[in-house]
Amino acid sequence: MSGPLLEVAGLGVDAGDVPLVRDVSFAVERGERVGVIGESGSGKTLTALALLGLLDDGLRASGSVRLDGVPFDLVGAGDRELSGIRGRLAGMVFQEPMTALNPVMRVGPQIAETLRLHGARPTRAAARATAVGLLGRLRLPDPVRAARSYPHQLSGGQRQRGVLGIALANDPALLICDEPTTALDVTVQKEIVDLVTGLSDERGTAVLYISHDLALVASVCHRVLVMYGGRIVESGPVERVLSRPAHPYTEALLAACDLTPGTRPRAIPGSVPPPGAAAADGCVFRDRCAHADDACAVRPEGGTVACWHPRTGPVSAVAPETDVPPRPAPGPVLLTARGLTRRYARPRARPFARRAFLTALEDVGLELRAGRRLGVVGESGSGKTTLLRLLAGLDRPTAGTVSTGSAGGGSGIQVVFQDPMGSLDPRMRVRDIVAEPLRAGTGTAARVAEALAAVGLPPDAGARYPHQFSGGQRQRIAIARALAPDPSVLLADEPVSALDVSVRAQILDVLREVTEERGMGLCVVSHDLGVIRYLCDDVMVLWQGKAVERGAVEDVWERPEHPYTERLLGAIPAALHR
Amino acid sequence: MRFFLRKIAGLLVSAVVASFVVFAFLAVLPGDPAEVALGTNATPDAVAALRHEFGTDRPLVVQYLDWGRGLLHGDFGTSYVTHDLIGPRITDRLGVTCWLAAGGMLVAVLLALPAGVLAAAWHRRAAGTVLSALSQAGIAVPAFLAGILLVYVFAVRAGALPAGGYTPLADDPGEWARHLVLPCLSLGLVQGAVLTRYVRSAVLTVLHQDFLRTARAKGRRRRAALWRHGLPNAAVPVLTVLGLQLSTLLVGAVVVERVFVVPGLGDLLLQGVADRDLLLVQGVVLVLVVAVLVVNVLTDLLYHLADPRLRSR
Repeated sequence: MSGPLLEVAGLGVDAGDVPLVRDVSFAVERGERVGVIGESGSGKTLTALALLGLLDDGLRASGSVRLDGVPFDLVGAGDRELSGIRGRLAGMVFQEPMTALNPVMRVGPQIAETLRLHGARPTRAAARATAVGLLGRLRLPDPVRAARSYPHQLSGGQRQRGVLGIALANDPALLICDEPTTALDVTVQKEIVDLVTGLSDERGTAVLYISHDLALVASVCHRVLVMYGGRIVESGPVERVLSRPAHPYTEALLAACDLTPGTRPRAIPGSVPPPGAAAADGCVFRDRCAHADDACAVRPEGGTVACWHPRTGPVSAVAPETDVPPRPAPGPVLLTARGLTRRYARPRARPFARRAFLTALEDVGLELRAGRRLGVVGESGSGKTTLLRLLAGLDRPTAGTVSTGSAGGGSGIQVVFQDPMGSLDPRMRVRDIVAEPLRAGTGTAARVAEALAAVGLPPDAGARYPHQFSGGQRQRIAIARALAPDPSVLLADEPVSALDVSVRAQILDVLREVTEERGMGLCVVSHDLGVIRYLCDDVMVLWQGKAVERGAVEDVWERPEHPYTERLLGAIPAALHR
Repeated sequence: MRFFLRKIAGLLVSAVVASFVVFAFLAVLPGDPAEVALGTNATPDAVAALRHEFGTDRPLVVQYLDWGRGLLHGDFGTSYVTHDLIGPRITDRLGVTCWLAAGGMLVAVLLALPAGVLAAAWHRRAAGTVLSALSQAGIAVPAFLAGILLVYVFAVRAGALPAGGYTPLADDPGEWARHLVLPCLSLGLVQGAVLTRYVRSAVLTVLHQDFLRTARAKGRRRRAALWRHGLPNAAVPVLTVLGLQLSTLLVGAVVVERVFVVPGLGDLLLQGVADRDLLLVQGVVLVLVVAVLVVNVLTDLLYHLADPRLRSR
């Protein structure tokens, strides 16, 4: 047993003649946890899939991937050879626990299957018993029942434990995790992450942990690789990379992530490189880099930092915001909700049985004043989206009232939704999307242009279709559409959770600026307390349909009173600096 | 179990409604059986007497209830034209049509499963495109045309199979099968072409699902993963289509029976219509409707068995 467990050299991935990943080289030692950080399109998932030959049909890997104890190169090996390695020497956990399990098969047999495919090939009964034991070790409350359940009968966290069970069944030396907690609630995320690190320590399992979340990677890994545009731009020990980033991209990413209030997160200008940039001449990041010069036209070949002008010294403290106007005094009340309750009737168990009800929201009240920003934080099932729908008038409360104040310039409520892909009609031009809430008449074109300008989109954006824009730009379109009728209140449902870190800050700033300039009231719903803290004045914590805590954001952040709020705060991976 | 009972109850209600609709439809159609039976030269008295004998002079409600009471005892009434019992005639013919539909279904499934799975697995290759194109062409061909073509090639040119007619299974199993081959093929080929497209798209959807990747990450080989995890999932939407198709096949059999001179329900139905034998037509149509309803309920049940997500609701 000499040399590293996993050794990747010059790995590349191509879709036809489009290079998506280039020159990825790294090694993972036994028991080591290595993080791969990158935004969408950075090639991090492709890299992970290429390691085990799981790329889609149209994609081709090149280079070399050696796993200790395997006599052949994994790149170019046949399905037969690779299938003897997958699930035995290397396990893999995927992003979406909802879809990663076979929906028509019980969870126990799905885990047992992995056991029966390799090694000792136990009997069906023995494998199932082992599977139950494994689920117990993954701290599922009732492993026997969980093993007998179908995936849809389990929660997201429970399902992800099932997927972990599949990956760990044969006690592999390497575990590859591709964003294993991105789809989960923060508190569940912490449980899963603790489980992975705990098992890794206990059994000496090496982990390759892929994520866009820097803080999370910092809490899990020993070493980190930063990917951008299909290449590794920087690598090194976690503490060094995250405290003294050498590559300008890493530095910019860290700055964009920092949502400390009172600072202005510096969003990375420009947009993610197009597919194929990986093989282009020169540094992949130079178009967006503040330090780029002529030297950057030649591709930097670096050991740990692929840059001609590496940054030295500690990360420059994020510039305190100087141009922030003082917070205006709260204006008149724009929106009042009292005793909002929403119950859903469940289908009757038998004909004529009494109806059971599910209470999604119970006796929640709030007041939104002009110029104030209220954050509503909670996990899935907390009732936060229900609350937003009631406020927007998209749903009727079972009890309680929503009233809009007559004071204030504009009128009406507009909503920005979570998914900028799904919430815009793909067949409409942007100008028609933005104009839709307006009454037809004169001045429509001017209002559309003004709304597009307010969110920082170029004037010619109106003539194009949504699919021609990136995720961040699409969210700007959604905000422009909401602004067009000049509402007095803007509601936003997870406005940045579908976006990359580098554009998240931009969208938050857009939301902040437009509401500030227009003296609007803003109510933001999010699962991310950091986002709320950055953007809002006040916060309300929802838990199981009830408002368990409310107050000024900083007070709640510093001195949470309700145990749930404390748990929520505790689950946020330790801050990077400070 | 509760689901099963609910479905059965729904089936019974639908059947009663169907019987009413069928009866009402034929009652408002022009063409008095008594007039037809006696010809144009009959005296009004004779017509009235025959009406009385048929019972068609009674109020419609009484006629319906009388017919319905009979049905409950398995009595479909007596034919106006041939004066024999309709029930046994229908059951005789129903067997033939069921064989035909089942055979057609078998052909369709045997054709569509491999073709659809291969077309999906090879969707990036030329072979997959060719399979898709063939199934597209197959959809465009009506069953009776396929039938005529098949008769021309296999019966007229090659002389290998009979062009028409029917031998009951009990008389000579060999001849029975030989007579069924061409009608079943002409029914099944077209349905198979349609089904191929559904199988292809179901498998294609499944191919890109995460759980298939999980299965491969476990160490399943590509083909085994598709077989073990992909197909059970692809089966769910295909089952629904299969149920719809079986209904189509029952009705499609009516046309194909005509082409191949097979004495099935369709043949009986057309005969009944030609003779203005209203009771016969009513009986046959009701049997076809109930058969379609039963097929639908069976499909629903299968659908439930195939997808646990539906079971726990």
